[in-house]
Amino acid sequence: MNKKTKLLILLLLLSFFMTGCWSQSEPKEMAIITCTVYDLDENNNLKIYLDMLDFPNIASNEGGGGQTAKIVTLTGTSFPEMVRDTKSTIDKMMYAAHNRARIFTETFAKNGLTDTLDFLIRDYIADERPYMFVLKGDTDPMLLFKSNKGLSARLGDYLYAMAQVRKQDNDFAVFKTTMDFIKEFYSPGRQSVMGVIEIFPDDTYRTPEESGENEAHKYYMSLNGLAVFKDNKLVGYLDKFGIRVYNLLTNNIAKAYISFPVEGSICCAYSLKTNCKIDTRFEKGAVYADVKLSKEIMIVQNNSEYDVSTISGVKKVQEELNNYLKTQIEQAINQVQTEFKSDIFGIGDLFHKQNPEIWKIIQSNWDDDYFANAIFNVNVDAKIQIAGQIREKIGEKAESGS
Amino acid sequence: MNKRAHITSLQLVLAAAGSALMFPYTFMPILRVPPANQDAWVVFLLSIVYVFVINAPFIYLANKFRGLDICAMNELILGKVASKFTLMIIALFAIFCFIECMILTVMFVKMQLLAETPEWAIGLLILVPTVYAAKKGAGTIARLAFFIIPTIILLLIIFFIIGLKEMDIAQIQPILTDSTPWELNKGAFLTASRFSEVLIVVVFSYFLIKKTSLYGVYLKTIGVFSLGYLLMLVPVLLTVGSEVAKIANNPYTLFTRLIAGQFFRVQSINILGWFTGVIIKLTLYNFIASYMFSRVIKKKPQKFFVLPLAFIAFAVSFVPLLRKMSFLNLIKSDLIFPWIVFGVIFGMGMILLIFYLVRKKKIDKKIKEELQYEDDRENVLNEKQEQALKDKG
Repeated sequence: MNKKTKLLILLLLLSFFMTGCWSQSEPKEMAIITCTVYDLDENNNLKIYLDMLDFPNIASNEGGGGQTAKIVTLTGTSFPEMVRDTKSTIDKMMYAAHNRARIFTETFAKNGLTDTLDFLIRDYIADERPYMFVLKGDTDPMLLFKSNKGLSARLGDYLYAMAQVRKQDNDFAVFKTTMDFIKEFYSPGRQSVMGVIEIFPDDTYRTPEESGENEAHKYYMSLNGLAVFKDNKLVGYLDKFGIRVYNLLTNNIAKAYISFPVEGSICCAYSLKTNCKIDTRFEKGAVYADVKLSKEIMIVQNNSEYDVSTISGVKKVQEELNNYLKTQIEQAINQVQTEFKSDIFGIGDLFHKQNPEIWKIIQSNWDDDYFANAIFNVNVDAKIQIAGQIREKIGEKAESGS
Repeated sequence: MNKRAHITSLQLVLAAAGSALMFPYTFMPILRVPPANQDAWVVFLLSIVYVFVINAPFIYLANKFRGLDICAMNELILGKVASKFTLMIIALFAIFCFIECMILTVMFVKMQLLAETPEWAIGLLILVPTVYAAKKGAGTIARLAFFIIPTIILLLIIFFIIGLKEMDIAQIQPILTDSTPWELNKGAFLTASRFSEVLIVVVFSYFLIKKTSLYGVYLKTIGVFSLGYLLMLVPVLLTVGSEVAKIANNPYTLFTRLIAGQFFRVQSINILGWFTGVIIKLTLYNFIASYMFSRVIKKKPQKFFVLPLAFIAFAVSFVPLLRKMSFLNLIKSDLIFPWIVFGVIFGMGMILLIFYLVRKKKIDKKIKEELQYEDDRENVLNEKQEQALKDKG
């Protein structure tokens, strides 16, 4: 055997012993976390609920039905310790790289998230991609797991799927990943926000025997809310109209349906294109922000008296929509300024870009002082581009020659 | 008497630029130098000017002594005794870079990939290919770089394209308003002072095929390096933002993790590219150090020093103090690393340049004689090789 062959054999042998992760584990031996709920117990100890994939159950329930998730509750002094402590109750290795969602109870979020974020970006098993939500009110976190999860088997998968489906075309919800939240936290001219989960009893609940389905849920989740943070602590919520304003002002949404009143009746528009431009300036010791929102819309329902296929009808409906949106925007801004004093819209970031020299002087008092007292001039310019598939309102007859 | 290997300009360009890309690929120090904000990309562009200035003495001399190796250059300028001292400094500098890169690599692999795998296993995994390639010599290293570095650049381009959707130009705004000219220049200087790869260009220029222009190779190296650097820096700034990126130990890996989207764990492909690149960097510095030792001691060939150096680095990387992340952070910080590079590359380059200019006429004459000797030596070796082939045939 020549030298080269010996070396080759040695290298091959070495590769068997050296390469690969020494903590490797087979998937069937892993407890794959898909969702984590962070809570505080009555003694202010940290408490987490882990929703985990149960591989043997998935295999045995192929073809439908059965439990595919296990929920574990742990209490301790730090999250890494708790997560690793699952070994005392779970006979598998924890794996969090496929975690889809992190949910914080209201009590937990009000206490501040800085310590938790440190763990989430420092620990090698945690990840920055999962979506983050606040569980509104003092709801028992276990209800999250008992709520209706649509077509998904696990909570984490449900929330992830909702984010994929809704974040592009629904202006009543906000989906923020852990990294989005951290970036906002680090931005001097913007405060963080998070999506909200609210749990309601399902009035249409029927037992599995009544419904004939394998699983039935007494509760359902609503994601129509926005949690407002200030310096990493939860300070309040915006309702679904507040979220719409947030999405509009941060150019976070392009397409959505908007129902608006037109002289007592309702019209509904579909946004084809949305653009919000905010110009900031500093005058006489105050910050001014000129909000110019432009929208191109398509009418999808017209219950008003106006004919949206005519110039005069379009003008009137546009005017009503503009007023409606202007009022909503002003109300939400006012609420955020007075109630929370937290610049979630990123006006500070824009001010920084547009007035860098003044920003250096005022940035330390931005939220409580300058943002809270900023004067907003809101201008909405929604244009009806398409009036739908029909011209006259349904029931009306078309005039000849028109 | 060994026949020297011949490498092409493209091989050298890729080897040097690839090696220079590995530290930003690993920890992107530019994010922490002043002004440490969204203007980091401006700092990088400005640093290219400083790179040219800092490298100018060495590159000028290497071009003057084209055809001779760095040891002959030192000997002709400083004399036999003093040149041993400068060559030892270069050798020690290469060992320092080799050990630092080795420890950083082990820590990075442990932090990002194999948390529970012991350091010795990771170290051996790194050293086996390094020693093999360094022993094979300049030609093998250059050929390896020729295959590996373009793959890495291709990966950077692919990740850039995948990440386009997540990039937000607002992350680098406002431009130049938060930074002072002093901060920008200080940051550019510190960034440029980390560029030690001019040493690779100078050492390996001896192996370059004769017709190649050294200035051309150097300019292309800076070009490829800049392209690769911007392909990493820009997406990190636009996706992660400077504030978050600068607290990360490995900003580029963080970026690749974020853009993965539904393709979970796609960042492992990035780490695969990074790992092979690091092997090239380690091999280059091992080669330079062993080459220097062989020329200073003159009794043993370059190959002889490869393995001992690798084992020294392996052993040093187990010194408890050096394995601490806090100590590594200090070594790689602006307080130490750039000043060592600056001292060796610019300081020593300037000393050599001044001595050369003082004794220019005499040295130029000697260069001609040495080149003639080198040509004769080469011819003899070629003839011997031809004769050996004939005998075999």
